[in-house]
Amino acid sequence: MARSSTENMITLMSSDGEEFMVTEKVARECTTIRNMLEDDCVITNIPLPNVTSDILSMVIEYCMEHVAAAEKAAAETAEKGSSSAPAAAKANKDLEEWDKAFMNVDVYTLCDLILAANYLNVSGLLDLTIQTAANLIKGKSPEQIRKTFHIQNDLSLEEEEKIRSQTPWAFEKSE
Amino acid sequence: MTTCTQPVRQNAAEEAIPYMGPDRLSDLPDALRLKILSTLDAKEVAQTCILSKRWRNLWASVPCLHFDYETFSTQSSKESHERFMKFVTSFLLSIDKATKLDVFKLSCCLDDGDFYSGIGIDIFYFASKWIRIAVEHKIKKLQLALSNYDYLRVPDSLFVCDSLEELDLSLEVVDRDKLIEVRPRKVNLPKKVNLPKLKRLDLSFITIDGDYMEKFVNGCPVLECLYAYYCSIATRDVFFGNLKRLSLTCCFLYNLDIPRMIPGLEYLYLSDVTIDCISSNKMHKLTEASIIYLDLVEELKYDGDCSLANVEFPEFMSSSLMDVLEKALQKPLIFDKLRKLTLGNCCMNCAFGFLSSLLEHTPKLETLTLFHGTQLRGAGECCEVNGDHGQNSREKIEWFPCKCLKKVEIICTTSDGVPELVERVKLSTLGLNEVLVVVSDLK
Repeated sequence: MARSSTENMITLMSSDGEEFMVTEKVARECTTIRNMLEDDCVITNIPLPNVTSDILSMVIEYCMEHVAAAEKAAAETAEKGSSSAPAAAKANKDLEEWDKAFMNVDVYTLCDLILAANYLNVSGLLDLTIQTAANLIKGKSPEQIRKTFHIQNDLSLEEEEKIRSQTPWAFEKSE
Repeated sequence: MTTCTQPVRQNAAEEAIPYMGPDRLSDLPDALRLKILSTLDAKEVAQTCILSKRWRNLWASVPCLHFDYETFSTQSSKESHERFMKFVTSFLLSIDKATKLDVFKLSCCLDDGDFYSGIGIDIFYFASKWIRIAVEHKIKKLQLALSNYDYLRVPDSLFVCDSLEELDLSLEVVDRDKLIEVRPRKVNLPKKVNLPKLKRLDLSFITIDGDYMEKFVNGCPVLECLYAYYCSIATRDVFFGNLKRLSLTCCFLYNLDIPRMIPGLEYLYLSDVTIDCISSNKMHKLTEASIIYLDLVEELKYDGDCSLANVEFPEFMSSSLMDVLEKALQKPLIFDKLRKLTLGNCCMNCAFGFLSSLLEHTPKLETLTLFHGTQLRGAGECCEVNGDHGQNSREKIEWFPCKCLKKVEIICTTSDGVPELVERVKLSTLGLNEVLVVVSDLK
């Protein structure tokens, strides 16, 4: 494609000073960066003081994968008039699988990714990480949730009892 | 208290840290933690109040609430009903006064026995109160998935809710085989409808009469999407000024002349729809249309200028779509922006002539999908027997004057006549830029 060869490269700098060169298209997946580029189109070096290098490299990995998938689908549409339904469904499924594998991280990384996705405004990644965190809560008892996320229970026994007695309907067991 | 020692997911990091590590989840800003809670069922949301001090009050500000009766089912249905009613009522009364609700979803599938015993009636009595509370919290999207609407009185305040953007009144049918027995129900007519922000309305198994529809159309000035499933819709002569998307499945329409009354339509999907009128108005904004099964019946009374050819079809969905359109339309429909068209329920070989004439007025068409077959919906014999009609059509010019056409997809349930159809399509598109012809077998 003619466009990609002439495409601008953008340098993203993490909080710990590491530099990442990405194509403008990939950088634009982050709405926050897209807005910066639209305000000032000559900008080529963007410091991101809120994101560490390991998290930033993951965000970039996510954006690159999703840009590549969208480009592939667009190329197929251009070639064949419109992409056939089964092929599009398979591509979607592949991307979903990729997302799932990408989310195989520990809870610290997950929370950092939520923050970074929110800060950089990558809506797809934010939805994915939020859903992954929710899935880790789903079906667990409060004690299990604390264990999973290392939540220190700073409520005294009396306080916990008080909350339970104020909202007894929330803790009725079905069995 | 029972604790399970087997986490659902095991990670290397979790294993490696025997002590309590930093609590990143609780460190997340409230807005993000609320986002996480918004995806959970209300029962799970409520229980987070005892996680720690930082979680104690957060649950009461969750903007998206999902209440599902399923999560309360126990051996005794009386007990589950009571718990469910108590839970939803207590939850809604405890939410923070300032909380604005983005989503309120209530799923409640009860069986007939629950209604005989009266318990179901109680729940629906409460449901009406719950909806009222949601309205007070400036609800944006209300989704009801109930197994029965007979006992639900939708509160009048919902129909004058100035924050409501999406309303979904779906009927959950537990037993799919019973679907056919379910008849559309009438919902109580509100005194007044004023929904200045309502953009999307989803209805199922509901009968709407002319009075109701008139109130709705006039009371929802920005309504853009209407999706109906197993509904019967009657209208007076009203115009749907802003409606852009219309999707109807298994519906009867009385006096709803789509081209005339909804001229601004951009997307149209009709499947198993019976209409009693269709006129030849131009649809200048339509870009995508799918007409899978359409039937036209003589119904109600007509004034002279409705360009309808009254034809009776005794069997439901027995006629070919092309026949329906050809008989109904004295002038061809004009779709000058249509890019994607799907047509079903016909033997394309017989209807080809009419198809060509239909496409004479779709200059922007890019993708055409045709369902071909005689076995579709027990459509009876191939429409070749239509005699004169088919003959006339065939004499018309068979050429698709669609300069933008890129792809024709033929979805067939029979192999009869497919090679001939492909050949005809290829001939008809001769002279255009290369058109891809794809055949998919539906068997």
